[in-house]
Amino acid sequence: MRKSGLALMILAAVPLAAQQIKFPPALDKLAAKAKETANVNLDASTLGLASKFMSGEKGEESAAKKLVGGLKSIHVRSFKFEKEGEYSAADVSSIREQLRGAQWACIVSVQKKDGESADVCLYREGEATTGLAVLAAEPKELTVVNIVGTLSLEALGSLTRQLGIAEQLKKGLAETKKAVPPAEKDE
Amino acid sequence: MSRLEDELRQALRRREPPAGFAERVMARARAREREQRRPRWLGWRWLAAATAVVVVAAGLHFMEERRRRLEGERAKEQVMLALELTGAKLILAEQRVQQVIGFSLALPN
Repeated sequence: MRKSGLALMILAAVPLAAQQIKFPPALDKLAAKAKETANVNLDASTLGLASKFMSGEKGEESAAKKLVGGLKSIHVRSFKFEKEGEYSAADVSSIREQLRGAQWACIVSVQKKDGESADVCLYREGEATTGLAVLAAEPKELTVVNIVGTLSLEALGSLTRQLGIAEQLKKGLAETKKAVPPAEKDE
Repeated sequence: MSRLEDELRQALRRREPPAGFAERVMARARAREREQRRPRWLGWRWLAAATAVVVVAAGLHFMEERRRRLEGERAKEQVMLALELTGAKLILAEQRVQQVIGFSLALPN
């Protein structure tokens, strides 16, 4: 995969706003076990409303406003657990199987032996890319995202910088690297 | 002198008003009174009603705006949360790739 692999600009008309991943019922049941749950379902009209309340000048809101302009819907399920093993491999595989469908093209798919995984896939309709899916399974965290519409990863990258996410994660990764020697890499 | 007296007497003699004179005067007086009273009384009534309508309409508009603003703010928070989570997981995916294959895939800077 090239360095610019994730720097794709997804620029295409979006004929459908329907969710491209079907969240299995078992996924929502995880909320009962989770210490933190994020459940987001936003359709085009709600996104439009949200956009009106975003400042065009304020850094992070301005970046988000640009992103939202091309979106048709956003669906997120994210769970944080107190301890490991609260979700099953089946919960993850039922979503990953959908991402193996003909219309999905996964640009990142990493699976570690301990069950940790990360998948980033683009939804194709003909020549057009009309959606993004992110499936991230960590020992105490499971996140599934489906963004339907024209999404610029460049703008998303800009937003994550504004929000300081990269710095937080890099800090976390640096601490992980200190704790885990390189030899323990699984793949 | 007597002619002058006769003329004065003639001029000042009591005359009966035409038939219905008193009724016509009273009717005209009542009509004028009504004209003077009605607009003022109706004016206050309409002003009060119009004020009430304006106050209620303004209240409803304010409540609707407040509801819409709250919905918008809530939607904005959800969008920011969703994008933040997505951005975080994309960076996480990038880091996993770095860990596994040892080179940077990097989101655009």
